[in-house]
Parts: sequence; structure tokens; C-alpha cells
Amino acid sequence: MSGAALSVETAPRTARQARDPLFLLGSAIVVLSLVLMVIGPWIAPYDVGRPTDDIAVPPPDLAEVPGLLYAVITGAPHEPIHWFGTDTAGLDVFSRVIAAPRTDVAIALGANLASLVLGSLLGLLAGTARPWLGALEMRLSDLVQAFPVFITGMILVTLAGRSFTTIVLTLALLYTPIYVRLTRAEVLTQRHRGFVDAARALGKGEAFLALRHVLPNALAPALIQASVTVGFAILMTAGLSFVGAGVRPPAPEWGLMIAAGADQIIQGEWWTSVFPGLAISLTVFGYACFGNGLERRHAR
Amino acid sequence: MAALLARLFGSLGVLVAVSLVLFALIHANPVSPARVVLGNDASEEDIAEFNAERGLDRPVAAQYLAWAGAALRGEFGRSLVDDTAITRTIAQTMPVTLELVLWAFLVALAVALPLGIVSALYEDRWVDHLARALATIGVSIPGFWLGLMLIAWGAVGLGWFPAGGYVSWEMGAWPHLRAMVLPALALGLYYVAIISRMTRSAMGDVMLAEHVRVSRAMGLGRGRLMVYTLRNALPPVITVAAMSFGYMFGWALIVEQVFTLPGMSRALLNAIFRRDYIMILDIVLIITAIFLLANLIADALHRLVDPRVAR
Repeated sequence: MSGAALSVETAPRTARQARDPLFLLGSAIVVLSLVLMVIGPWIAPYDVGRPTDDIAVPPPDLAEVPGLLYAVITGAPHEPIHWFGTDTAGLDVFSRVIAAPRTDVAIALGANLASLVLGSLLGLLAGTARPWLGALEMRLSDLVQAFPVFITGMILVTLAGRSFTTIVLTLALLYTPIYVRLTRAEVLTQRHRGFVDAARALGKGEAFLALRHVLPNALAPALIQASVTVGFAILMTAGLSFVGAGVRPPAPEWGLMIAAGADQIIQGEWWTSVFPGLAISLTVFGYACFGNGLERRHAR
Repeated sequence: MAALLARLFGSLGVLVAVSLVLFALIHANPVSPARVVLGNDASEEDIAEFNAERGLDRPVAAQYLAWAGAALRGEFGRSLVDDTAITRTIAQTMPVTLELVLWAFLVALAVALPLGIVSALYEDRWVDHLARALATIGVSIPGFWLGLMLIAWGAVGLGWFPAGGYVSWEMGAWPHLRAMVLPALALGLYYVAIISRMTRSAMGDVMLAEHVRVSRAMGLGRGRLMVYTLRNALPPVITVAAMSFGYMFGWALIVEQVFTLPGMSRALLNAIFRRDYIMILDIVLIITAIFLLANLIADALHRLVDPRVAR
């Protein structure tokens, strides 16, 4: 249904679309993050929770990488390889970086899915039901959005108990107003379009019209926004655990890994926090490019 | 003017509502500060005494009114955990956070506005592509990690800046400012991206308007044209800048942690972990009030730039 809403004018766009390299890159990153979310912990070369005997080993020199790759592919005998080095506890950084999407990306997606569903239904209600209900929803959204996002996240997660579920619920609550606003605005422009009025003239009920005709056509801005908000949510999840108000250690999670490496950076042991940070930046960048690309397509 | 007053009252209403929600939320939490302070093996009597001393045994509504009455008089109460005066804690820590946010805000504006303008003037040229790529990269990098990277680069590598810590003004303006450079960059980059993107799109919209096309057709110089376009493009930029200023306070706390600046973050984090309700409430309300105030100022500026809104 959402696919239908996004691809109304399919015909004349192929030529320029192919030349949107950032959108392609973004899509690739999004797909990679989803794949790692599902299989990341399984394909990690080392156990993400069990320390190895190699303490604080730096990653191999760039010049050695092709040779090591060759050895791995051909199955030639070689020393155990830590692509991104190991941390002070002896944990393999590469394994933890690719296992972390199970936490970071899953939380971000879960929170966005929950707030997208709740927000778009509330937005539909605000745009179609009695005016006072819409006004009430808008005031409530104002209220939620007046709270400083990061600090409120910290407080809610800590008070509710630091866990995967509470982070998802907290982020979902904080992001719902975004979707309420977007959907409501779009519903208000869609509900008197010709095809809706036509269905109304046929005697269909308002509730049926809202769900069958208005909502599917009003979802596009919310779906585009979702891609960008997943990025925010990843930054937020990592930030919460960085200050100690998110997922508990020793879970493989990007923010926790950066925090663990923060003290070593002064001593020149850069790899423990550089790689998880790069992973966050790349992932969020990918979702942002994906969202921008979708937006441009939709506008055309 | 009347509209502004209405906005002001609206903001005060939001502030009261925020305090009510926070108060209710905090009191619905099963872990009490008495448990946190006295430990798990404290007797029931000890806990009752702790609560009685601090008025925690009274009905929640009475507690709220007592707190609100004092807060209105500018008296923020005492910490439940260590009994320090919260007003003093805030007076000591707030200036640091405020200064960090101000520098970061100035950095963000100083980079974002020219970048957005150039990007709009040279739409679809390489400068524009570069600026847009920078904007997308800027919103993707977590500020706390950027802070660490800046420490590795500017403090450990080059040795130009201290790796963290706060140097007070009394130690000299230069050492003071030098300690603020990296934190301000770490906090500001994200908002460079946000504000430059908005400047570009607002400028782009205005440049397509009829009056600009007519002015150009009548031979108005490029400089004059840019000034007029900029003025018309300002309102959305002001709105976004003000919201950014408000949001910066939240992220400033995390940047303070990275650079060990003695701002409000330590007080707030400790308060959250130790369930020091009153402290949490006061700090969050101050930050919310700043956010609302920034929005009000944006509204007033908006009216100044575009008299049609004031109408």
C-alpha cells in the first residue's frame, strides 16, 4: 500500500534517477545495515562477549591488508586477524562493530515503526475527526516537543530501567508528534481531493474514506521522514549509552564502544572508538541520503 | 504585540504543563531517593524519617505546590541527596553550559549562513554539491565522537588545544578561549548542517519569486539583489536557528562529558542516576524555558523582518 503511495507517477523519471549516486549509496548502506541487523552477530569472526588473549592490539597496517585478505580467502595458514584491533579487555572490535546493528539499528527501526503507526493513525484522526480533537492533539504534540529531546530520553530510560524495550518506547513517544503533524497536514489536503469527494458522493462512510482513500495517499511524507528519523534515533541510542543512560555494557553497541575507547584515545589507542564512530556516521549518512533521494523523487 | 503576549502566555502554559508531567512521571517511578541514598538495607523507619525530613511523605499535589511556589520566587530548593542548595549548583554550572552553547551557536551561524547563501547562488554547481554533501555528513556524525576525534587531532596530535577541562577567565582570555574551541566545534558542526541546509532552500525559494525575477529583469545589481533575497529568506532561517539554539543544550551536556567541562551535565546525570527529583526538575525546566524563550525571540525577530506577519 505504501509502495503504491510512493509510486504514483512512475513513468517519466528513469533517466535522472539513475544519476543519483548518493541515493544508490544510501540504499546500499540501508540494505547493509538491515542485513547486519539480522545476521551481524552470527557472521562475526569472534565471540562478541568473550575476550581473546590479544589485549589492545592495533589493527593491521593498510599495506598488510591485501595480503591478509588473500590468506583468508585462500585459506592459507595465518595468525588470528583483528581487522579493527582489540580493546583493552581483549574483545575484537570488528566483530562488535558488525554485531551492533542488532541493537542500534533494531532500536531505531522499532521506535520509528511504533511512532509511525501510532503517529499516522493519530494524525489521520486529527485531520478527519472533530476539530477540537485535532486541536487537542496539536497541543499535546507541542507539549511533547517542548521537552528537550536528549535529556528527556535520558530521564525516561533511566527511570523506566535501562533496557532495549524502554529505549524503543521512549524514542517512540518522543518521535510520535513528528508523524502526527506530517500526516495531519497531508490528510487536510487529501481529504477533499476529487477521488475522495467522489467516493463520499457514493455514500461511503467517513471512517471508510479515511482509511481506504485518505491515509494511503497521505503517508508519503511520513515514510520519507521515517528514513531521516531512523538516523536521529541511531545517534540518540548511541548517545544515551555513551553517557551511561542507554543499553547496558558489555552489549556490543556503538555508543558503549566509543565510551569504552574514550579514555584510551589520549594514549594514542585510537581504534577502539574510531571504528564504531565511523560505523554510526556511515549508517546515519546512508539513511539520510536514502531519505533525501526519496524526497526528491516524491517531489518530482 | 498582542500576538507576542499571547505566545508568551502560551509558553508559560507549556512550561507549567512540562513541570506537571515531569513531577507526575518522577513520582510514578518505584525507586525512591531514600532507597538510593540510604541503600537497600535501610530500615522502614529510616526511610520514613528521610521522607519526613524532606517533605516527601506529603501528598504529591502538596509537594508540587510547595516546589512551584518556591520556584516562582527563584528559590529552587535543596538537593534530596546531598542537601546542597540547587540554586548554587545551577549558578556555578549553568554559565559554562551557556558559554559552550553560545560559542557553538556562533560557529554554526558563521559557517552555515555563508555556506547556505553560496550554495543557493550557485545551485547545482560544484560548490553547491560540496555544501550539500557537507550538510548531510554533518548531521550524520555523532557530536560526542567528533569531540573525541577533535581531541585526538587537535590536542594529542597537534597539541594546539587542551584535551579537555575548563580554564576560567581569570587565567587569561586566550587560554580560556583555547579550551572552548574544540567543544564548540564538536557541538556546532551538526547545526552548521541544519542551518546551512535551511538557508539554501529558503534562498532558493525566494530567488524563484516573481519580484526577484522582475528586479533582475530591470537590471538590479547582483549585490542589491542578494540583500533583498536574503531578507526575504530570513524568517525560516531564524526559526531553525532558534530551535537549534534550544536543542544545543541537550547535546551540550554530552559534549561536556567528552571534554570534562564543569557544566550542568554532571549535576544532571548524577541527579538522574540518584533519583534527585528536585534537581532533575529544576534543570529540565531551565533548559525548557531557554528553548521556549529562544522560540519567542525568533518570533519577535520574524515580525521585525517581515511586517506582514505582525499585521
